[in-house]
Amino acid sequence: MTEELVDLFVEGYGSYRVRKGENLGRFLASKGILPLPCGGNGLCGLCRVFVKGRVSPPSPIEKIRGFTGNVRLACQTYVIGDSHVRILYDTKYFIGKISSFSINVDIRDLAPIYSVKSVSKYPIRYSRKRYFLVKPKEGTSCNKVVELLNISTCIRDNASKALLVDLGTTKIAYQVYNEKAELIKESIVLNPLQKYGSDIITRATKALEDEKVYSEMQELLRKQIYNIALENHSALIAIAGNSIMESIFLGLPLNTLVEKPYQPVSQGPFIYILHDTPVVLAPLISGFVGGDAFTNLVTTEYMELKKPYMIIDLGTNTEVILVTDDKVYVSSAPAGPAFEGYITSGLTPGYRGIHDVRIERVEDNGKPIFVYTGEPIGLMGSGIISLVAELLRYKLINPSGKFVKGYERYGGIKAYKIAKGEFGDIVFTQKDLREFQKALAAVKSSWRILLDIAGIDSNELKYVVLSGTFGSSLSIEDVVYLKIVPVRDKDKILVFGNSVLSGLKIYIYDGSFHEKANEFLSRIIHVNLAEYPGYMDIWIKALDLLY
Amino acid sequence: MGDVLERIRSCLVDLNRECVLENVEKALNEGYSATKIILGPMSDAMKEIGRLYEEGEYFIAELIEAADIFKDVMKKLNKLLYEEASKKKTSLKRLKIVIGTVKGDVHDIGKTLVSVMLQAAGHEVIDLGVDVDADKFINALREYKADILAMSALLTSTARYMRVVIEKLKEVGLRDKVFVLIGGAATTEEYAKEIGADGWAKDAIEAVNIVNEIAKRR
Repeated sequence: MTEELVDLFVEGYGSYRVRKGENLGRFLASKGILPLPCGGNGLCGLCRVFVKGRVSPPSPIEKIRGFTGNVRLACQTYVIGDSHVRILYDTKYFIGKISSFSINVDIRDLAPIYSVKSVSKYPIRYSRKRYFLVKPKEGTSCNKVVELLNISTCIRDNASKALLVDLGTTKIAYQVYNEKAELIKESIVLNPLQKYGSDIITRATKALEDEKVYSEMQELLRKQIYNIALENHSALIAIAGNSIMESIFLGLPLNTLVEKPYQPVSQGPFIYILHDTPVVLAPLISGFVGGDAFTNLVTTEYMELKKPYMIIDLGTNTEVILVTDDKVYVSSAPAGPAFEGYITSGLTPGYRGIHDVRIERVEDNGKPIFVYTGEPIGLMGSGIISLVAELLRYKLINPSGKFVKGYERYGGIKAYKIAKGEFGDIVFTQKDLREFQKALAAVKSSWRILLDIAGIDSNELKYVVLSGTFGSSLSIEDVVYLKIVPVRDKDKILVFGNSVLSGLKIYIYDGSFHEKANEFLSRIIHVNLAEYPGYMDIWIKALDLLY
Repeated sequence: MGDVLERIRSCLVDLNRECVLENVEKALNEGYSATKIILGPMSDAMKEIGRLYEEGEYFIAELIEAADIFKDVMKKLNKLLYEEASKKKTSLKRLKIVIGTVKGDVHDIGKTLVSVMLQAAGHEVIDLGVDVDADKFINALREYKADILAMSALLTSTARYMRVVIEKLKEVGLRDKVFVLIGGAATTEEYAKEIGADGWAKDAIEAVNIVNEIAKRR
């Protein structure tokens, strides 16, 4: 059956032929034109567009928010005939700098695992271990080669840099380094696979249902990364991401990741030749603990943290890693999306939304007066954590998570109004708190069980490292108060933010540590929380905010 | 509704166990049938608790507490309920439910909560646990002559297996004999329709409501 196509003109970007009935937001996101900060649920109101032409009538959420004229929410709009669109989204709300929220680690012994050489001087030294891949473009000859570990391959004449990629579910953050490990450039682009769903499980399911869709995904992802590599004269690409994103890039089977046994077919590390450029992908620890978690571990081990220590990565899927003298215990728990802003007024990581909320005072009528840091466009994960801690300190909610006083009602549901924003009120509802409690319970039960299995008392922990994209704006005070971590001593808590790119940098630029890092894999013990006896009881107890 | 019945309802909503048990005793003394107590104030209270849960007012701990109180009352009234049923007055029909998290999925909590709530409501639940394949479901349905098959999945990837189970039910000629109810974070009402399930419950409360409705019709 042939699909009916219509014309879509996007000001500043050009004309596209799109399928009749295509979701406008998802289409624009797939072209990298517009992000969908709240995942396309019509919640954040940031994907506003001016539309003329034939589109679907306003959705219920658009009606409530008043987007009933030419200004619409792209994620709620379907193109049904020829249309003309102007993007109203303002990039000022988007954080473009990675170094502002990630830890940077200096390389001790600069010995990159790759080097670029001119063929005229090649071979400088002949090694039996070395494989030489010849795949120059047709009609051209091989002038330059890149040597990586035990392979050599022909590369573009102008290529010399390394492109490090944090392959996230929503965003692709990258840094470009020269051979001296000096940062040349960094940026964030949208993950082109958003049009296949905002979460990895949905994407994996679509890929499993249709092989054609799966190859489309692979093509799209590789193309985007290759384009960045071309633009930045990269002779090497290094990627770390969750197990599903890395596996899509490689074209590996996905079913073993998202169904029992939840393990990759191979842990890697992987090398893939993308046209002419070798790509190193970080090893995968398990189905839900991927190369991103591995690079976190690389960072902490490189920094020689005293053991035992724990790494907690807060997110939709919360990974907890406990590192002891001889073992590495890992677990993952489905925390639900509350930490990443999927609540009524939530925002996904990477935006300049509200990242800290305090209660200035409580008025005589019991209403709290909130002060906040950040743009009133939505609540970031750290904003939600600080808000819950404050509400509890002022006894406006109780430890079981019930709203007790000072709230208002929105459509019958209890809610605190935090701010008045450009796109509507920023509120936090009773139901939002329930989602947050579930996420918190997932984290608390994870670290309790890991400590129990390893036979380590929480007092013995030397450090707890908090990683993840919103980690850097967390208040340690709140983290301790809500017992998100197993230690009470603030000096033991290290906030690293996103340490994926720093881990990759070490993995690529310190050759002697590269080998050491790969050996971590043999020390890993994967703990399946769902199969731990009494898991449900521990989880239910941990729903209490102060447990 | 008599005062005593109203007190049963409000005490259960408030999760006051002693008050519930005390007033159940009183209601029996006043001549109310056990069936009336369960189908009237006890069920009404569970509906109210369900509504409070939907609003976020009550949470998982409250649900479990309510289920536990309900269980206590059922224990007390069990004998009477059977007697009344045999006299063929309006009786409470108990259904047999085979429940499990589908193959490939090991997530337990949501499914167990549904199990607990259904048992509290007086039904017989055969909980097969997690990672359950079609054959295991079918064997249990046959062995226990169950009325309902309830399947759960947390991940969309594993929810796909529900379709496989339903196809298998058709193959072995069981499809028309059982009501297929699905739930779990990965499922939606549309999905239930698409794969040919008979019902979808968005949470434990709704699962109990659906099962009770079926019980009433039988």
